[in-house]
Amino acid sequence: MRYFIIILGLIVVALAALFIIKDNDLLLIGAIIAVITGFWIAVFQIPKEKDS
Amino acid sequence: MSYLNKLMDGHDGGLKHEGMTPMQKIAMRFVVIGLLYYGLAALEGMIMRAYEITPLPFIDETHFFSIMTVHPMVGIFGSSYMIVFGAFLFLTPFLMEKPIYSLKMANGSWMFIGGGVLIMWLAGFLFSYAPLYTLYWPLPADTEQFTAIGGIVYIVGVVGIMIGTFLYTYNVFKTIVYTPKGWEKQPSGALLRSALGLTAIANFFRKKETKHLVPLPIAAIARGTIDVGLNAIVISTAGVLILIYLVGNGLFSMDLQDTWVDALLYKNIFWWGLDLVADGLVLVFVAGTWYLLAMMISGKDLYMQNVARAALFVEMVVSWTVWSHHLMSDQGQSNALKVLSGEVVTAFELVTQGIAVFIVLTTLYKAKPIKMTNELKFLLGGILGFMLAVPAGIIQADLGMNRILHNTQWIIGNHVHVAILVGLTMTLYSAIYVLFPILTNGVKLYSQKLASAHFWLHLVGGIGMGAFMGMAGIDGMLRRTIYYNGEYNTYMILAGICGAMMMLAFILFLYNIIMSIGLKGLLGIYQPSKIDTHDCLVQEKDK
Repeated sequence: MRYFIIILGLIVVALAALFIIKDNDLLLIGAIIAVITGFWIAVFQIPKEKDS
Repeated sequence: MSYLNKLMDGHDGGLKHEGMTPMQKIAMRFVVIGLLYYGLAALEGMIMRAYEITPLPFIDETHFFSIMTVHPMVGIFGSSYMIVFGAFLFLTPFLMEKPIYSLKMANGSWMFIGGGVLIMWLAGFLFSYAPLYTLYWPLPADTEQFTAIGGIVYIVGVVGIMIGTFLYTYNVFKTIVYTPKGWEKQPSGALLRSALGLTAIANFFRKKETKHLVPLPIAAIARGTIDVGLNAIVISTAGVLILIYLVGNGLFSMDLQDTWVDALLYKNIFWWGLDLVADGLVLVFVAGTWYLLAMMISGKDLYMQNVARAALFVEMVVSWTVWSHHLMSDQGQSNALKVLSGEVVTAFELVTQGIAVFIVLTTLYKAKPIKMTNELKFLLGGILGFMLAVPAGIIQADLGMNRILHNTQWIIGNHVHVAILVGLTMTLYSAIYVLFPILTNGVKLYSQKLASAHFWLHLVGGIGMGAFMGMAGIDGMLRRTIYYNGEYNTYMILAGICGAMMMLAFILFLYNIIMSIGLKGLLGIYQPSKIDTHDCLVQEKDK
């Protein structure tokens, strides 16, 4: 479940980035790194979840 | 046996669906729907090919561009995603030697993706929604050119596809790491680190190497699935943005300004995500599938396994950083991104893909003599496809050449269609031929002659269509453009003939498969399985 919640959070963050970042390469690269890092964190929640 | 009986019951007894396990059935459900969507994409492609020769009276311009909008989505998500996901949801538990984590999730994946593609297709067919698959901002939210309801239906379809995709990613990762009921506790964290390549990286700094806990194809599936997830996040984000504008401006007459979002920034983020399909998961999944096929066909271990694992990781990282080759002709894009991301990192794909080709061919060569089976023929065809399409991509990812080739038929012909139709699709056909007896409990192919005709018609048709489109592109023919005076008719007629060859190849293939398994078996795939997956594994252990 945490995996899906983090993904929802990442979509919200990426959506906000589309409105906030204008013509700035560093912020663009920062947003990309944030999405990659966030998704890896989401994937690493999967082994921690109960095997229902 | 009469023809009708054979059609109903299949060749040599056909498919006995009562004896199929749930995973066999689920994989076949994905593949059957994926093939039907492939047929739809091929039909759309042929309509557009014909239209490029002479505009068809029963299709107006608006509808032509709505076909062009849904065509890649049907091909990529409806066909390629479905076949790949079906194969990997079967292979992941098969190779990890444990049941899949969730059958319900696996069934949910094909239902959401298959249903989502249909809804998205209807947006084009019923509402002529046509902002093209690139969805360049603010075109998809333009309620003056397109109806808001058409756009909303399209995005609802995309949301369905993304939900199915996220379910797939979770199910694959969870299947790798979880401990089935009654089993000894599995080292879930270590399994995930091994699958994602972190163990291999750590081994570079350790005196004593840690053993890889997952087989090589699982490493490819896991790393490609990372790109699948990242891509789904970006497409979902774009979908939500478009939906906000369509609902706000289209339905509630609000005044949301499209200038609130920077069009170039949007294009960067959208292409970063989209390229994770084109340059990420396709190349990673394809390399992994080649490795698995080479091992299954040759019956030998893969040559240079450690290098192959490292190359898969490098390929994944490369795929995160190459997007800028799609923005080389954008004046506002910074030169640093154009050169570093667009040219330098992109050229690295030639290295990673070259390593994969070398490893696969050497593995096959060392196992000689080997029989030229259908799966081997299609595997070699798939390798040839990427060996043509990847260098074509590197050529157009050059700042000078891009000035000439950008937005021409070269891009979509030589590069995209050769990569997808010859490289990817022939690899998938190879996987289908190799998995066919495994998934159907040994059903024999109806006709080898039809299989051979399928191979040659698809190979020659695919390369020919891409080549003639490319020649038209070199002569200046733009993509996404209708030419009314037959300026490029010689190339377009030749490309059309080649497209028809591929269409015929697909019809022969479909006929061969239906005659092999029979219509009863085909329909039986969609009935619930009477076998429990856990029982199968107990039986395997008892052997």
